[in-house]
Amino acid sequence: MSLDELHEQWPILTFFDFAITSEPTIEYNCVAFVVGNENEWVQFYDPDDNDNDLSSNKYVEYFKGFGFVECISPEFEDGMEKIALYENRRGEFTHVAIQSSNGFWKSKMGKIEDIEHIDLDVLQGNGTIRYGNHVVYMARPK
Amino acid sequence: MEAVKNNITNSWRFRDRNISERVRVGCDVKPSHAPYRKSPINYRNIKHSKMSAHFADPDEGWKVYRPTARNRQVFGMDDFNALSRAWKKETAHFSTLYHVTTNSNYLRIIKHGWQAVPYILKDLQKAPEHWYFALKLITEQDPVPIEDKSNIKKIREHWLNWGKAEGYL
Repeated sequence: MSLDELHEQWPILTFFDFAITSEPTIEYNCVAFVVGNENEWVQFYDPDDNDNDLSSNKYVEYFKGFGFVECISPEFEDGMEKIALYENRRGEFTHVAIQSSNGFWKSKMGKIEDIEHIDLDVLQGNGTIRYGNHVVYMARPK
Repeated sequence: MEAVKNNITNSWRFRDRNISERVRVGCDVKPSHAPYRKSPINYRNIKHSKMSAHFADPDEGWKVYRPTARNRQVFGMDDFNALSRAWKKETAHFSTLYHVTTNSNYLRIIKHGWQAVPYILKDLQKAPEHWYFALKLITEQDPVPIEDKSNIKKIREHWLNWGKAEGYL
């Protein structure tokens, strides 16, 4: 996806500095990206299952397996690695971003590029077609 | 809009007879019974379309629909490309397969069933994509073992091998 297309998807990004930090790839998604796995598309959705839990509960459990515990704030803390989970207005998990050591946030945007952005709010958007709001925060020691 | 169409299609016999009359005598008077028509009737289409249906569209004016290949629901490469291009653009930023595979363009491709399978496999040959849900739903087969379920490259290989074995590629 070009920069123009990215701006089209997230108009708010035009007002902030952000950096594209990778080539687009479909090999991994944001969930695998935050745990350092670049070979898998981690997902818990099964189209054959009528009772899919689309909320972030399963993802929270998954991240707990990597040493993350829930915390109350996305504020930068020295020695801690934080992640923020997004849900849209229907309560469906949409995205997860990870905090870098400089306090900025890194996101793998679906099958397009990884970006580094200054704030979690810049990826908020229309709740039905974009990522919605960041609602759950988790942290683990570095 | 529906009410307008129903109102008009209910009385199409009466209307068609009057139109034929006007064509025959060469009269081009605006009919008083078509308040929704904005553009003039294309008489050239109407007098040759014995089997076609006539509809009035408030935005477009009169339209004459003939039984063409498109109306018979033939799903061609162009149709597939248009839908898949729109699907890829609208879902490129999603990381959750629920949002990727419930996009309306993706569902429209699935709706065409086995007609879509050769196109999907050809698209998969070009680059890895999230086509395996569509393939699984249409073919009711799953050549991907559980240990490879989250590896996009391997899923692609398994489905391409399946396509070769079935004679699609």
